[in-house]
Amino acid sequence: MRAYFLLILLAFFSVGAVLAQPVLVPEEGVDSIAEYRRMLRESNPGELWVARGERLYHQPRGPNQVSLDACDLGLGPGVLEGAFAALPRYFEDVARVQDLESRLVYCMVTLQGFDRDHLAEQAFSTGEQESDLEALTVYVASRSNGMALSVQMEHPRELEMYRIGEGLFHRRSGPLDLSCATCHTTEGRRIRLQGLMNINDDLQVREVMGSWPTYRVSQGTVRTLQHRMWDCHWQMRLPDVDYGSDATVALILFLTEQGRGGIIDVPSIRR
Amino acid sequence: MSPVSAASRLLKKSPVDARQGGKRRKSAVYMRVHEPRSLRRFEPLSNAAWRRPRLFQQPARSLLCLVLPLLVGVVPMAAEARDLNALERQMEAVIQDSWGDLPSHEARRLVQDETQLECSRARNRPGEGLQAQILARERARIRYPQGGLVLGDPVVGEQLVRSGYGGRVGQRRPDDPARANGGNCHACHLLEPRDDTGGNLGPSLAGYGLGRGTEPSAIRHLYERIYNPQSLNPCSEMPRFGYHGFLTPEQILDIAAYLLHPESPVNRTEPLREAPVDTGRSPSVQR
Repeated sequence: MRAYFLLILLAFFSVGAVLAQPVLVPEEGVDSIAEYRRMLRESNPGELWVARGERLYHQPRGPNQVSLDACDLGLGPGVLEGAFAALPRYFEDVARVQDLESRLVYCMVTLQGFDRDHLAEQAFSTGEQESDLEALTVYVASRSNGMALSVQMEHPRELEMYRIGEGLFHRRSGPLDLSCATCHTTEGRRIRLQGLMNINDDLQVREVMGSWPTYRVSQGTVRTLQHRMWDCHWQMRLPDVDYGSDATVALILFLTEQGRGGIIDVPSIRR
Repeated sequence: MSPVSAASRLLKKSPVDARQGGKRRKSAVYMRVHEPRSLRRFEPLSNAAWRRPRLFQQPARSLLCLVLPLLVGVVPMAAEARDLNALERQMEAVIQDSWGDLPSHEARRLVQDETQLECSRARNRPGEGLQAQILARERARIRYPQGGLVLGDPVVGEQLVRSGYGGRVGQRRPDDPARANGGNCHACHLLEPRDDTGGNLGPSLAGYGLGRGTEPSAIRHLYERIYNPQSLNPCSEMPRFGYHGFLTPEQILDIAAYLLHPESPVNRTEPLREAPVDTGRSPSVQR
């Protein structure tokens, strides 16, 4: 019954999103989007994904029929509180730096026996297919709500990956000569009417990095940082970057360190 | 036919660029008549490094490329002869590892050309020496349209500045390569004085054609700026649309027509309707 009610709410919000868009002009647009977000915060459709993620996380699944309760997200097996706030981090057992999503894939493969390629293929929900990883990711992230982003940056490989991420951020390539920096290094820049985060503005980066995973109104689903990385590369006309790959983890580590101190509040709502 | 496109058809007949011979123009005009624009695909430009995998250019070199990685242990994806620093080598190794098996036309997109590498290093602020190098290199990469530098169809140009379609690859959501790429100028530039929904990554182009005219020199300058902005502004953030073959020379001339034509909405600065009375303000017109 409750789920039914939430569905109606959801439909209502999607209609609202469609109606709200065409009338925007730059200054008012920013304000009305902020107002829209404020109004939705208390009944964010993304909470449905959090609830689903919680179920999926603790229920026996996969060929091995075990839950993810033994998964070590950096603070010890089964510790979810605060785990996301300190990711990405270096993990001894795989000898590499992992973000939340690549770590979840690792646990789903090693503990539950899922197929890695299959998980990566279905990592982003489409019209036909709902993603478990989106729900799991937003659930685990939400268990750090109210905490500050604080990656540890102690292991040499973490420092290395940070520098690689920074380098990749500025690396121009592809048929449009773009890099992340093209859009994200200057204050007040927009693509059409869409405002763009400025990497040099600490407050903005904290706000943005503390708000992912987020409910994307335009896509009707929760999207994660891995999706954001894939989406930006796809828009830059580069090939599909692998889900959970080192390039994405390096970029996410760089961005998260830039956003250090940002308060985690997920799922947020974005366009 | 709209007055704008009628006028543009007249314009096509007038100024011919001095460099272009009359003979070639004829065949281009013929092509224009018989080939629907939407079906026209871009022709590979012989000098665009983009379309020519460096790896396979010279047998001796490509053999070296296959053997060298085995010796060094790290696959140098960026140009083999370049001196990459330690961090850049790490970045290339991560890139190699982060994009799975790709068809060669996709893998090529991850390889930087010299200008991309140099501008990334300089964070798009090249010193004087590098500026001169890039200007010369990029100027030499410009190819001019077979039909000469004559304005195209501004109505098609308007569609092209608004279309963000084309060029996306991969398994998840590729664009249809049979459909024409758009220039998506609107994403980064304000284009029309009466439309403030454009982006602001680039300068406003509202009123761009005012005072520029449609002389051959104006067309040539604009063509070069779209074909290869780095031939005028080293490490410009704007894509080198022609150099990469993302837009065809003909499409660039269509966009040029849209920007330069006196009747284009880009160059019409009069207000849409009478200003409301008693406000004491003049109608807001953006230039």
